[in-house]
Amino acid sequence: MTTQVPTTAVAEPPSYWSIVWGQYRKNITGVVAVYIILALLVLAVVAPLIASKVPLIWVSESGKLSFPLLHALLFNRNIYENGVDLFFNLVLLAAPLLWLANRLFVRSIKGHEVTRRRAAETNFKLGLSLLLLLLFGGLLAIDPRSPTLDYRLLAETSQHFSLFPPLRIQFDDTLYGATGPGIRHLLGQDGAGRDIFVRLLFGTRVSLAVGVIAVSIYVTIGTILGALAGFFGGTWDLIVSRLIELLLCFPSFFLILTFIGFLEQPSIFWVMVIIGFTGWTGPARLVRAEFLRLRNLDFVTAARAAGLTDTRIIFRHVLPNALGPILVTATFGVASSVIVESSLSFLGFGDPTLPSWGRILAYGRDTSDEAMMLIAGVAIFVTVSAFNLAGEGLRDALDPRLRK
Amino acid sequence: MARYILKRILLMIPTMAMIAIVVFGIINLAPGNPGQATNASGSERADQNANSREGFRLFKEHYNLDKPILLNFRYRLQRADVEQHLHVIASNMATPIAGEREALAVGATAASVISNIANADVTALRAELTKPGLDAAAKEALTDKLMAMEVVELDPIRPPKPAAKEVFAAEEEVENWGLTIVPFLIQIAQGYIRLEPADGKGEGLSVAVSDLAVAPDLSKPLAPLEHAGKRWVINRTITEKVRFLAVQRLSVNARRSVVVHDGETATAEAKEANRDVLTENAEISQWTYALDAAPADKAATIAKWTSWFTKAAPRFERTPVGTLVSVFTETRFYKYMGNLIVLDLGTSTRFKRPVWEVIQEHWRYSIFLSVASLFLAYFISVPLGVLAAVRHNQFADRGVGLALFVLYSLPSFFAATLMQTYLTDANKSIFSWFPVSGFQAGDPNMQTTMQMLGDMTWHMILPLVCLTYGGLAAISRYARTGLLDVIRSDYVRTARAKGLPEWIVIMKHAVRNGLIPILTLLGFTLPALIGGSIIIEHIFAIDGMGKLMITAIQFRDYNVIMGELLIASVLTLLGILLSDISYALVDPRISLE
Repeated sequence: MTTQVPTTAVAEPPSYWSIVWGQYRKNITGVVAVYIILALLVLAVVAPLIASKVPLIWVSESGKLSFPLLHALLFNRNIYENGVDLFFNLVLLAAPLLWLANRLFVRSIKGHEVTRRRAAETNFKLGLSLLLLLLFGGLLAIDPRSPTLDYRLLAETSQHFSLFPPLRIQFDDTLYGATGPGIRHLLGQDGAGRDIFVRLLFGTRVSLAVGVIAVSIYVTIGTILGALAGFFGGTWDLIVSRLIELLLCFPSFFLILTFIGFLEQPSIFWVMVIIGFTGWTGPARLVRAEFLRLRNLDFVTAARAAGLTDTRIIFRHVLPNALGPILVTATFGVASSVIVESSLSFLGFGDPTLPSWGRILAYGRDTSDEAMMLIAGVAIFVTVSAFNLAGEGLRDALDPRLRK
Repeated sequence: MARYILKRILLMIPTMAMIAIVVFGIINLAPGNPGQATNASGSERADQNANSREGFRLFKEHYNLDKPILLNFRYRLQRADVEQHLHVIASNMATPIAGEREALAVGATAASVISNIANADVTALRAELTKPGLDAAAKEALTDKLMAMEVVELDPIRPPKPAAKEVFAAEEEVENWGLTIVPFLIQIAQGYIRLEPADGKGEGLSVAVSDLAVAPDLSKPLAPLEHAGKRWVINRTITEKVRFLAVQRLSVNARRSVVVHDGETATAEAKEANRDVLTENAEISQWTYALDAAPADKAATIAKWTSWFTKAAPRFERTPVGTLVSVFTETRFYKYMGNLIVLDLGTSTRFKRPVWEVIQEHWRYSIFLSVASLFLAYFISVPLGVLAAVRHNQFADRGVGLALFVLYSLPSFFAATLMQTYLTDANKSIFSWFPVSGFQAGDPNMQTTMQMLGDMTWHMILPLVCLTYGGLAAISRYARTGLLDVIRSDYVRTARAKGLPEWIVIMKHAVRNGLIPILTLLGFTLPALIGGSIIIEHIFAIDGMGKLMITAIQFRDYNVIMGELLIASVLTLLGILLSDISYALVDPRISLE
């Protein structure tokens, strides 16, 4: 009879972020908001799989199989010319690969002793994945045809097999005269013959890209300046605080419009950069206050006594503790950046080549097409609310006084 | 208290100076320097109508973009610099001039002459293409060649060749040098000669007629000549073009600016001087000739310039002290600050009037909107915040919080568009209660005061609602938190304990102290309102600063854009100052430390 020694499992204390997530989950609206944001992200990424004028699978007259959409996603500048589109297309292509790689390697290696057999297995999987990668690359390169070839027209006449996305429409198509909502055009077409639904769909990409990238720019700047001011104090603090005070005097929309006025051709990247460089005062003030509070706490003194460098103290000890409030401002910031971007394109100062929600709203207003106006406005409203609600939930989850 | 206010006002002065410096920085360092924007490519430049070109010149003149930023070292310029720049421009001039073929014949070995011709030969190529009996390959080659030439000229999207960029930079720089180089331009117009090596090897040389042993007669075909121990051919095309450019530049660069811009404050002498300057400018701007004019006309024009210069020469002499002073004063920074001090924001290219005047006409609408909306926001959100605090965590609190949150997430331009569609008579809907747009409908001179006020209120309701609702959430949340802090304090408990009715406890004891923090929000709300009113003014067609800004951007009216930014930020600064002072007045604990 063998008696098993009961192993007393030392329960690892839950990490800070898992506590925060636990708190966050109790807030139903916040969870819904996160789902909405995730849905928007997924829509933005898979947009070409929903609507494209290029087929996913195409069998040519000679019976050759090809995948024109995969090729067009990255290499056809006639269809996806903008950086925002290319970025999301890249995500669309890379996401399955990353998932696959994660399934094959990371999970198999993690938490196991590397034995001979396991190593062989890993090698086999590595080889297999590389093969898959090569295959994937090969799919992209097969039969790129003429970049301006109209597959839709060809598909109507040809008897061969082809598989298109559910909607055979591109967001800048002006092909068929204006019609109302129907099966072919879910929300109808605008006065210029462009499909409203597809434009809205691709507008998701624009809004999300501007929101996230502009905010990352200004959170980065704000965090660096705020950290310098709060941690070192003295001259740094003086300079940064004066700079913040000065920038607060400029009404931000005026400042943004001024920069836009000096651009020759307003592109989406300039909009991101301009919002990024004018919005950093909020995060900077916040980070500065957090650092001022944290730098006098015992754990920082202890870190200093242990002889750590300033860089290490800032990045490994103080910054992680200030991360919560930064995340909250960033989430609210995405919402306000989406509003700024759509305001700019509403006024006609956005990128003219992109289907932005603000532009669609303005077009609906100009042509007194109420449905178009409402749909675009609701899209902006839902996105902005989702980010605001998520920010609200995050703020409550981070506040220890509100723990339930 | 008085000391605090005084200190706060004094602190404003350096901030204002810093604002001015930031705006100066934006003018100079903004992405896409306005200078480059206007000459992006050759054909675009050619297409520019005189108005926008003149607008750009006015902008450059006002903000002194033609001058160096901080220090001016132009006294060091030599004639060779000017010659080199003009040569760059001349070698890219495509205009065919009479006698170019003869010039080519004279110096057939000079490679640069041939390359000059290439651009002008589109017509010849076309003629060759229509010749009968061409085989397909030759035809294709010719077409390619022709297309290459024409595409460069016609396609505005394609970025300019590096050479073209260089040319624009040279043109820009010569224009910017302005009066400084007038003496050199005179010399160049009088006797510039371009020499190319006769054997076709090596670089060409720019000289003055006086440098040559024998002055060549340009009206006749010329044999190669000896200079500095080498045999040279005169490149007549370039020589003519550079001289032509020098005269053309003189007619612009030699213009002086008027002494005083403002017609009202100018003295009689200043007006007299202005008139002299303007007549002279008008006169000398006519002293040019066409590139293919007769030699006698050219000589006559140059003679005019020579006699003008003998009279005007003293203007271009500089004392050492004058040179030293000009290093610091003939700069953008010095001029910009000097103009600002006298509130000179330049001239609007769209209205053809001083920007300061234009902004003064528009700002009353924006200030009215901002201030009214500020009052409205406090008037609505403070009671809501008090209600939420008193009914803490009850239905009213949650309801108010949710409603304001939804409003906070609703973009104001969407709400404004909706209201304009459904609540005005734009669509003849049943709810057409409000006017579509505008500040007032009737002529204010024909109305009684009450009528005018009623008219204005009726027009302003929708814009004010749109401008206000977004800020409600922040203010009421602040009021709620502030009040909640106070309600739990001892003195409120004491007030309750001594048996005061609840509403007196709240109104007289809690609210007075609990609402002090919301005054700090004033400083943040104001810039948001001024910025937010841009889009509302655009939608409701209210002729305020925001609408002015948008049209200024559309018309590329740079002076107005920069003036607006400056004025808007100074207004915000004043608003922040007011909020600080009122805060200090209400709460005596506040001090500058």
